[in-house]
Amino acid sequence: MPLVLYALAFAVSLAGQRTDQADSVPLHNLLLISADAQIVERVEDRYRYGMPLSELTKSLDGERFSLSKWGSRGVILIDRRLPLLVEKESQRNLVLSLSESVGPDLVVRVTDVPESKRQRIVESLEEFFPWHGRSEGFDMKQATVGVDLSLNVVLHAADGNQKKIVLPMLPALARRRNAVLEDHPMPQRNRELSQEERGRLARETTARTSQLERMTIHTFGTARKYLPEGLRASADTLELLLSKLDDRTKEAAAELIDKLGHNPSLRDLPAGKVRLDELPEELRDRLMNQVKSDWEFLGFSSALDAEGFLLDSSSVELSMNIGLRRTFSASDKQTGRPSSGMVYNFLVIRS
Amino acid sequence: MSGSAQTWTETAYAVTSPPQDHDEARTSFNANANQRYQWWVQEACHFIVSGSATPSPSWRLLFASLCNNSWWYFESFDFTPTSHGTVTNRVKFTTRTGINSFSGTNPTATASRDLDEKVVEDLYFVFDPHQEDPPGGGGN
Repeated sequence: MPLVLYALAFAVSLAGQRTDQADSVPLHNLLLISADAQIVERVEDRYRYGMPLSELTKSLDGERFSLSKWGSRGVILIDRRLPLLVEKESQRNLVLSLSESVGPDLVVRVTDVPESKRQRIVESLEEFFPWHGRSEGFDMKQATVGVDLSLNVVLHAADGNQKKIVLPMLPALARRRNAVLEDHPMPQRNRELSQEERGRLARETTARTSQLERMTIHTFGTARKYLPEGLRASADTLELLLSKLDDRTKEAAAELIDKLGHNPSLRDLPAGKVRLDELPEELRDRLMNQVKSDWEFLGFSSALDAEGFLLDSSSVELSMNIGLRRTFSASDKQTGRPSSGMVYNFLVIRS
Repeated sequence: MSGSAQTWTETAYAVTSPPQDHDEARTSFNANANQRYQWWVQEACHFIVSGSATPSPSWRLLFASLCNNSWWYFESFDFTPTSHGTVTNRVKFTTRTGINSFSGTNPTATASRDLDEKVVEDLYFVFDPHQEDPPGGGGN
């Protein structure tokens, strides 16, 4: 059996680790992926060439690592606090917090959010709208924002051409939401930031992004001799971890979407590429209207041309956006001036 | 020609198409992390009246020409994303149509006008952080 499959098949967590015969086999190869220097030092401190796996697992914090056996005498440890994994977990927590806090009008009043959930939402708002949060006179803890749902529909033509259409979801609720948000505007910018402030914010956000992209690979024992195989096995294990986190986030998103009364449910949306006639009729009708409305944006020469592309498409692919809406300015009933705002789509969920 | 002015009375207003909500994409651009973007968008509104054929020339003066309006709304945006992504400008608006009927006296006449209205309700943009690349690594 290839090493990759072997590692996947025996991927287990240190938590609840069973001590069996394999755990007493001498550990010759250890590969660690982490972004935390202290964790690397700790593993360096505990690992001895040829030690039984069980001895290593006992000496480490089981919750902190994902462990996959690698070949007959190797193991791959992945730090569960990798920023890449933490970000995924954080997205799920945001969805859970929103799910508990959002009202039937799609509005989230941060002041009404239970203390235990509030911090996660405030952190997200500061992350999504950092330039606003630093402005004078506005506290994100006082913010009122809205949940926004939209459906991405990618149309695939037989010749390989494709078009992406966005269908706003829950339009009636979105109208109610916007009416509420108009009473709680968050101006785009309360004041101009100085050059120095802009520089500092840019450095902070760049640092956060680069931290997300950072991880280091450490080999122990004779693992460096088998590095290419180890990297392949590590990549598959990491992918498995990410996939599990995505599944958990998707489940949380499905609950949020169900709570908001969205029909069809995320669980009912067809997965992967499907034919147009496999979509629910109502969705097909809405898609047709949107394609005809957005013909110019989509690069067609006419609404008829756009309609033809949809009808001739060989397959369609769906995913759901979950975003947060903030309103910059309210509409003016006297002059008829429209409101203005933005939506930050923080999560894309594939069906 | 009579010395007194012709008078008109509205006899009916019928909605021929109930309000239709629209939420449409307009333009989009790619945005880089930590770069400040300032742009503006515009959207036209209208309240257009087109009249039925009528022998009365004064009807057009009284109704049609007075109500044929269209105008633009402008909105400026200022946004600095914290990650690479796509900005898409969108607009929410409502359209409706109806027929207004009138009867005139001195001399007796009838007329109707078709109303076509577009009301812009929200000018907004959507930011989609780049979360996905085609499979295969390296963006290939």
